[in-house]
Amino acid sequence: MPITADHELIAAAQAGDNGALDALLRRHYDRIWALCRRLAGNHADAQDATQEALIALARGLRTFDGRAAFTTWSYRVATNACLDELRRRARRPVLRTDDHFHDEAGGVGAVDPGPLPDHVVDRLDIDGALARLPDDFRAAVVLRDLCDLEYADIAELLGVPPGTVRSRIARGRAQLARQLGNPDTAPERPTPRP
Amino acid sequence: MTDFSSRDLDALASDLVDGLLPPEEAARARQDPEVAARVASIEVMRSALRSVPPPDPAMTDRILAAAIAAASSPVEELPQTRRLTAVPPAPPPPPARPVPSSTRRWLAAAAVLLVAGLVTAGLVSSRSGHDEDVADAPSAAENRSPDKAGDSAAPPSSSTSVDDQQSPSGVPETTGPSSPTSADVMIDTDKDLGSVDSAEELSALVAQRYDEGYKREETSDRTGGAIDGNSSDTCPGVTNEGDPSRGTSLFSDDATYDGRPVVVHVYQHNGTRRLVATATDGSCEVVVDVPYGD
Repeated sequence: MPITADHELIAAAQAGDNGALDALLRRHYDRIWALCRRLAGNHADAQDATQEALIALARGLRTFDGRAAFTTWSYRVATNACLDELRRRARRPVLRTDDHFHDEAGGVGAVDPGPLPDHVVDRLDIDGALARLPDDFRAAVVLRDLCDLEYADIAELLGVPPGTVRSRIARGRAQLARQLGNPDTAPERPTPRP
Repeated sequence: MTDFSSRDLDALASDLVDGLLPPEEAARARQDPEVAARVASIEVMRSALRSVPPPDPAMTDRILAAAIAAASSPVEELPQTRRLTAVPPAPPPPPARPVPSSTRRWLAAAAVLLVAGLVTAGLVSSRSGHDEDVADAPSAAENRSPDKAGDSAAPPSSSTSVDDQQSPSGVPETTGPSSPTSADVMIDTDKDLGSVDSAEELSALVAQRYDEGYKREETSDRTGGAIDGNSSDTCPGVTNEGDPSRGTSLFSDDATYDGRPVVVHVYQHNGTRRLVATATDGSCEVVVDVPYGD
């Protein structure tokens, strides 16, 4: 089966071809899932957030004009949809236990295993660490370190100046590193000079 | 000089990772053990962040199907950065403070009693020929205009009349469900399961209705099966008896799920039952699809 380029699928989907829309969404599903999974922090919320994101993408595709890369545009739409869904959920009381943060400790490596050995990654409670980050910091770090978005894109997406994005990413990374137990980033650490 | 003491080392390491430092400063930063340690910790964090648990394949298919169905449905164009959930037609927006499920059940019971009173008042009104008799049910009159209360009279044939009225109102519209007619409101209120926020709550309400009152409705009132109204008219492949591809519909009722109007079915297929709620806001989105009962 020939591999069709995104722009061809987009054009066909915009013309009403549901098969093309399915192929397009399926192709980018893992990216959107990964984004929502990291923003949500647990599987169940991530599924709902992903659904909201894909619905937003499917409907918003009608207005996609190709000026931005589809990947960037889809991250933008999906991030907003995910955050909206998560904010809506946050308004409800939820009995949240630590199990939420450990529910998929074994499900490692689906999207990008990264250079670390699995047994190392398994021990890192990244969901727990992310959950302790302020929402603004979490979104900035996830968009940068998971989605590889540029600072300018993140700034536009989050509606803040690039300098704010830079600060949030730096502080968010530092907090995450500390949460993950790396003593090298402890703020009180003495500073040996070479 | 390799002295970064005046700078925030976290910010320095972060900038170094992202290539935001000038070449000379970057070179010096790499030689600083403390900055290097921070860079290493960022890389560890990044690797963990990118090790995303895989999605459930079955759920992936469902989500994709829902998204494609939503794209195919005629809905109002909304800004891409806004939530796309359609506004439910008649019921008030979901409360900011969630109502306990027990309270909801009481409210649902109160609503049923209220409607029963309305029906009784309507019967008296139609038999005596005085529309003003709605004053007999003052609380109902606050919610419905007298002529609507009069329209809702004659309950024995209400299903048939609603069938007749729903055909024109069931034409797909660009902004979701149409404004319900007075008869629609009567039927919806009469049979609505109420407002829930989770599949568990919905399942409990269905169980309650199914075990207690639903069978009576099924034999005495469900002549036309029109309570599914919107979805049956606007969702492809879904008839008044539900979606045949999912199995035999054992239960059918309206509800508000997470602020969205839905039609709820219990399907039986190959000996298993599933509780399915489909949005009737024009999207036809399946918002709940879970095993039901044993």
